[in-house]
This record gives sequence, C-alpha cells and structure tokens, in this order.
Amino acid sequence: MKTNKLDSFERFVNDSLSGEEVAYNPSDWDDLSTRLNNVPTKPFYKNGWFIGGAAAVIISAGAFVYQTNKQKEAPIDIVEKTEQINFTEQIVNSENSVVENKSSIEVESNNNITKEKINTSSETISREEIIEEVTTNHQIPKEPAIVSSFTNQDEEESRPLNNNREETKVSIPVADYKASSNLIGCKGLTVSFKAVEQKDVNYLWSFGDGTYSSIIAPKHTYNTAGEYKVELIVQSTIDERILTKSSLLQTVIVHKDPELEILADEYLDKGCPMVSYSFIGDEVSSVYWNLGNGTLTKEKTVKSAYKKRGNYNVLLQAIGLNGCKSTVKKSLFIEKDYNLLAPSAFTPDGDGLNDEFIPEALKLLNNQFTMVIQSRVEGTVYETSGVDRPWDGKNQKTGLECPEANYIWVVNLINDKGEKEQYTGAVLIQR
Amino acid sequence: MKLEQEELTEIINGCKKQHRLSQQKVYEMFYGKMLPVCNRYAKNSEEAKDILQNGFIKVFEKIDKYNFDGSFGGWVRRLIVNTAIDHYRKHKNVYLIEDESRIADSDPWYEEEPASKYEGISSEDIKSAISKLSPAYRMVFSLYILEGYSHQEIADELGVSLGTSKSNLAKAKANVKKILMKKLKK
Repeated sequence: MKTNKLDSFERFVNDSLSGEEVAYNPSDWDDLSTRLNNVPTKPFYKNGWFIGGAAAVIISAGAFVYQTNKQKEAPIDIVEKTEQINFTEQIVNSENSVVENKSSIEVESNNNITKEKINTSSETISREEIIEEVTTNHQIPKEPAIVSSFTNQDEEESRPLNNNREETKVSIPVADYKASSNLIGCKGLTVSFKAVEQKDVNYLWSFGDGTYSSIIAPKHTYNTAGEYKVELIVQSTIDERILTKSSLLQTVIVHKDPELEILADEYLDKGCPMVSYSFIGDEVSSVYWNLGNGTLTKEKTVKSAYKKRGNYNVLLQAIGLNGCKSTVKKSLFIEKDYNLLAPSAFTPDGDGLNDEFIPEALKLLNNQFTMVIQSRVEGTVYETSGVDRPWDGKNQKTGLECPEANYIWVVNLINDKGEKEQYTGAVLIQR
Repeated sequence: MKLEQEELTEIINGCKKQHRLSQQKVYEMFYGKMLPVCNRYAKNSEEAKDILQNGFIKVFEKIDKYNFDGSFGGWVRRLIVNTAIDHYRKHKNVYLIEDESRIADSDPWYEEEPASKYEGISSEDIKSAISKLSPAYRMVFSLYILEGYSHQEIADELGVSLGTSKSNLAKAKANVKKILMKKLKK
C-alpha cells in the first residue's frame, strides 16, 4: 500500500478511523459458514414466512382447542397425541377420517348399534352435514346425508371426540373464500377477501404477513414486499372443535419498489456550477427527474446548471420493471450566484493590471454575445460583441475617461443550445 | 485476538486446505478490524456485512495465492477493499460524466489547516459524515485517505479520469468538512 502525502484534515480522518475495531459477532460466522457450505440461500419468503404463518395458525388453532377443552371438560386426544406442528395437517386429515366414520355409522346403524359401539368410532364429521346420534335410545337415520366423495387412504387412528348424551346437529364449516382479482401489486396493495357465508361459524384469516382478521369479508393492505399465502380457518361455534382449513390458498405477491439512490456530482463548467446526475437502481424501466431548477427530464443521466445561489430539491422518480414506483429526494446547496464570473471592479489607469473589463466566462464560452455598459448619468457608454474588445473604461462616443463610479453591465448571449440568456451586474471603476 | 506467528501460519495452512475451523479463526481474527473498513464503503451496515462476507469468501478462495510474503492482515485487507470496489462497480450502472475542468489544487479547502480546528470531533462524527457522501465521493474519499490509494490507482480501479478522482476527493472532503463544522457549531 502506497501512502499518500496527507494534509492535516486527511491525517486527522485517517488517525481517527485507523484504530477502529468492533466486537466479534459469532452469528455472522454462521451466515458465512452457510455460504461456504454452498447451500443456496433462498429468499426470505420462500421459507421463513411460511413457517411463521403456519406457526401462527397452529397457535391460533391450538387456542381454539384449548377453549373447547375448558368448556366441555372433555379430554381431546388431538392435542395430547399430536405435536403442535402437525396440528393443521391433522385438521385436514380429519376430513378424511370423517368420511370413513360416517360410512361406519351407516353400517352400524343398520345393525342397531349400542352407545359403546358408537363411542369407538364417533368422529362423525362430514364435509357438509352430519347428523350425530349419540344416545342409544335414538334411532339413527337410515339415510344419512353422504356428501363427500373423499376416499380414505390413510389409516386414521380413531380419536373419540364426542360423548354427549344429547342430539346435536353440526354443520361442518366450509373454508372456501374468494379474493379480489388484484393479487399482484406493489406496496400498499389492498386485497379483499370473502369467505363463503354460513351459519354458526367463526372465521379466522391469516393474511400471511403475521396479521389476522376474524370477519367474514376482510380487506387487507400489504405494505411489505413478499409473497403471502392467505389462509382461512372456519370454526363451528356449535362445536368449537370442528375446524376447517382452506385447502386452496391464494397467494398475494407484493413486488419490491425499486431501490434508488441519486448520485450527484457537482462540478464547474467554465465557472458555472453544474451537477451531473445519475442513479443507482436495479431493474428500473423509466425515470423522471425534477432537478429543482426548472429542468424536468426522463433521461437516465442528466446534467444541469445551477446559476442562482440557494437550496434545491432534486427529485427522482423511478418505475421498476415490475411496475412499482419509488421516489427519492436529494437536496443541493449552491453557494453563490453565477454571473459570468464578472469582476466587480477594475482599474483603467494604464498600469497594465486590470485595465479592462469583460466578464471572464465570456472568454471561456466562445458564444456570440453583446455587452452594453450603462452609466447612471450618461446612459450607454460602451457596447461590444467581442472578447478582444473589452471595456477600457472610456465613453465610446466621446472617447473620454468615465469617472470613478458604479456602472451597470448587461450581457445578452446565445448559449450552446441556441437559447438567449441575459446576465447583468455592476462594476466599479477605480483609478 | 493476539496470536503467535507460528499459530497464524498453522491457521493459514489450515485455510489453504479449506478447513472450516481455520477459516472461522481467520474470520474471528479479522472481523473486528475489517467490518469497519467495509462500513467506509457501504451505505449501511447490511451492505457492509455483505461486502465483508463476499470479501472473506474471496480470501478463502484465494488463500492459496498467499505465500507468507508480507503481512497477512494487509493481504486480507486488500482483498476486502477490492471486494468493496467490485461491489461499487457492480451497483453503479451508470458511469458519471467526467469533468476535468475542476482543478482540485486551486480549491480553497486544499489549504493546510491547523489540526486543532477539529478538536471535539469524534470518530463517530467522521463515520457518520462519510456515510452521508454519495457512493462516488465515498469511494474516492476512503480509498485515498484510509487505504492510501493514489489518484492514479483510484482512477484505474473506478474507471474514471485522474481529474475526476482529484475533484471527487476535494468535493468529498469539502462535504465532510461542512458536516463536521455544522456538528462543531452545535
């Protein structure tokens, strides 16, 4: 490493920062180690969110069961036998077992079964309607409504749920829902959902982003980019142990807004303060600049002059390839007016120093111009259109030296773009 | 973590065999020093960590090329800084229009100032000021002042002209000073 000759400020910065050290963070090694193992890392929404979402659902489902437990004071084997993680799956599976149980009831009813028998296979849940006859004295209907066409493939362990000595008629909730058509969008995307309306149920929506709702037709706004699966659980209020989980989950995709950063490089072009702008941003399809000085453009890179002292707000709006929009702002301070770099005084005394007046920038610009010098007393005293003919401090008409005073100069020029520009200022004669 | 030379040599040799534990030791050894270096080239700590990780991946990939000639720390640091430069180049999709008319040497902030002027400025203040620079300025500022890159090297690395490197440094310094002075006045 070569060492530059640093000035005092640079040395100060270098000294201040060279000894810097931060505490080791072992978890950062884990990240790196993972990468060194060449395990491809997935975007957050491909794994993290779903587990999170599922966990949340499991917890809420668990809560239902817990409540049920307390109310009915009947042991519920589902919870005891199964780990929580599997619980939502169990709900789905229960649909299958339902059918099986129902058919067994059918068979049993033909055989005029006893209470005890029913208890061994009494998880009588059908997809749409079940009729559960639990008391021995009751006649089990000959033709129970069989609505589901599921076939049971898994051997379900029997999970006796209900032992009530009363007639209950429980509708199995349907967890189907509709979503508004705009499931893909940018931050702030609002999606409406509606569950199938039915009696005696609670709705629990999980929007996939850690938020929930319990109304039948919620609207939800997504404010963070990601992919979200929307899940609905419908719970019967008559028998709170009966839950249905939506099997088809709608996916909401919220695109990222383009990340944007304005890059501004200030420089002087022949003395005139200029800023050249570009930006950092991936996957940007179009941009729109407002440079704060009246310039609006859709160019990706742009440079512009700032001739007046002051604060400017530069805005950049970008539309990403995904259609999402971002706006960033940068403020800019211009320290002084640009006035063709004209000196404010000159000394036409023939000593060879500052004997003539012409705004310096005119020498650099090479643009066509006219300059008029005006005196408060005499009016126009000098006119020129060439940098080789600066004002010598004399009245052009009379050939006499102008007295020591302030004079006004006015320059009209045609700039490189062919536009007219006017500059004006004051200059003092001192002899 | 202070190590004997022999121990370091052993660890480096372990890294050459891609031993994960040796790599972890190297990472642990240089983390504290290198993360701040990355911070000087990043717009936030997330980006800094990214650079650090990519830098260490590069270190472990190229460690075969390290032949114990010169300080290992310096070698690691150079790779990390190179990673930062790569990162900058990769994320900068537009090259700035160059301008060579700015002659840095005539800029007033090039004058030597008394060091006492900055009394009361902490390194945190400086870090915060650097982080406020635009990426182009920040690169030149850090490479020149903190890494000792010459303007020619910076120009080559960043693909800009010598004049741009000089003027960007001058502007970057002016901006940092402005921010620091504001801080002092408070």
